[in-house]
Amino acid sequence: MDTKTDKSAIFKLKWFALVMLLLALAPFFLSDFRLNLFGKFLTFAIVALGIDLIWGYAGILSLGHGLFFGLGGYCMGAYLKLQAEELPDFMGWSGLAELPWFWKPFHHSWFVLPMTILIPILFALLIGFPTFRARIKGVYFSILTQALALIFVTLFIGQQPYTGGTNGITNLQHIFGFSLAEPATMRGLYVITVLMLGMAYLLCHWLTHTQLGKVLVAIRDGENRLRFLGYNPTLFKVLVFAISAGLAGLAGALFVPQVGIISPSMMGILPSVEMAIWVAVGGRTTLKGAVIGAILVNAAKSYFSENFPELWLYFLGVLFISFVLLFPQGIMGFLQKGRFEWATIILRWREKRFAKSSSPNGLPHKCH
Amino acid sequence: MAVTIIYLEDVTVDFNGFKALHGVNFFVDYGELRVLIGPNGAGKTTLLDVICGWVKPESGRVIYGEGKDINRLTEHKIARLGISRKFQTPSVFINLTLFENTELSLRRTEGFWSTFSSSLTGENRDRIFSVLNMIGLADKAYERAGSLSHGEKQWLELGMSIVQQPSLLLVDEPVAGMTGREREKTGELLQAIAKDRSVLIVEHDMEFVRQIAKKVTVLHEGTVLCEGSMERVQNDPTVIEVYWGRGENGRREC
Repeated sequence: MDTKTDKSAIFKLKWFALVMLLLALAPFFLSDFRLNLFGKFLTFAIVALGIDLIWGYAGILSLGHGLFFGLGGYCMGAYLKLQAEELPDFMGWSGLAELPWFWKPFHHSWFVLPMTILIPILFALLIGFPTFRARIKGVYFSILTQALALIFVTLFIGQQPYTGGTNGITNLQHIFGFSLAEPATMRGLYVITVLMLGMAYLLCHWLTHTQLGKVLVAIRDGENRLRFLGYNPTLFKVLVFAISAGLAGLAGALFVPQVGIISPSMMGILPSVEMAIWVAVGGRTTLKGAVIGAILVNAAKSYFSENFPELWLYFLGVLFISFVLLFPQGIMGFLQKGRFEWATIILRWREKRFAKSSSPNGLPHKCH
Repeated sequence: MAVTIIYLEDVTVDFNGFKALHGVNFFVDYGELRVLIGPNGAGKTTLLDVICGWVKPESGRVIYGEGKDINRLTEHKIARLGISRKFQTPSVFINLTLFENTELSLRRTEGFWSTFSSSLTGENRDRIFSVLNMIGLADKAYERAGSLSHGEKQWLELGMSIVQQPSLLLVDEPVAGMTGREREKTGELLQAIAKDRSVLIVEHDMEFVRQIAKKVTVLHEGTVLCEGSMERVQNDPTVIEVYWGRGENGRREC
């Protein structure tokens, strides 16, 4: 039993290394434009991993992860903005003469880089602890997270002097002294994104393969049973919510320099729902599925929008609905179930053939 | 002399005006196997709910062991004190294997950080298998719990309780929906479990109660009606009235 798991772990590690290598080699195959687009998809894949952890494993559907993505993105955006301008342009337009105190720490990369993850985590703890302690769950939790995303969008739009309002933070020029217009910088950012995705994957893989993974599944399948075994579900729910928020924040921080803008429209309800869709399409409770789902849905989105500018939203809608109807377990679920069904189909076919060849008249063969 | 493990003192539970328990005084001794019987709506399940913290009483005290008031504690804290609850409907984790179900239960006793480890000591592996052997499901250790039959799920759940070695086990209708052979096995299992701890069982099935019970408590309309050996309880006129006739003077002392 143990040696078997060890072997399959090494086997999986080989696959992981191969995929990472292929991803790292992508700059040699893709044009600068496509590479940039793909880099963006990979940041989404990091968000999807976090959502899979909380939704796929623990069964808690958050429809507000855009908020955490946005918080990470805004941290990075604020840093990049201060690299470009002493006083951000939107502050000048709104009549601010001086940088507000809470913007000042964003001058320093040593502050910003950890904060892109820590601020979303902090928010998740603040929201998660009272919510889960009060045993708010299911659809009520989903609605609550949606409301939070909405509140933050409204707040960020309303506080234009401090946040850039509806436009968000734009005109980002440099990162650590490298121009964001340079293809080489983009390639560098892409490679960093691949590395971060790899680390996020390993983290989630490790978490789900310790006892914690089983506790999360137990929360999904029987929270009260777990309670009466002496576990405190609140603790684990807050924990997984915080981890997935941190991953979304990291993704937001990687997204902003590659796209060159962060605005409230990227943290609202719509992007939050889309994030859940990536995971649903890819297949819940499989980390691979989350990554594949995020990349495929976004690839389909840009393909449709490039080729059918008027119709692409309808195509996307049809795609989602058909997925929900035909493959409720997502792509990975279909493949896993498919593998089983294909095996039985082949087996039956072979049995039939064997029966035919052994008795040509279709009757069971008799021995004399 | 017997020592009390759980003591309910004048406990009243009020569900929006309906008194599910009405000033109940009740205690169970260390190492005792006690069966709670009574007609529907007598408050049997509510009494278990109060002990394990699922329902908070309006008034009264719940004393565990040597004078610890567990009235205000949350469910998981009560569970950690050594009170294990088995609900009527089987609730095992269907997507985990039998081994994983039992391991999850055992790991809780090792503390929070045990959750972040994937390795298991040989000693704990042995403990898990000895429990799976006890409930007769060791050969299915690596099957998903969702594939078990109703009766097997109930046994697995009992196994998840005993692996934690609780001092008090609360069991709600363990043989409901079971076949004859399954009932027999459940009875043997519960008697084996009761050797090392106190067990409090709620049961409807009189034949089963006769098989396992030494001492029986009869609940009726939220109060303790009668207590004693099965024989004595069965021959008590008030109990007969309550079960068969639903007499007006159902609260008479016995």
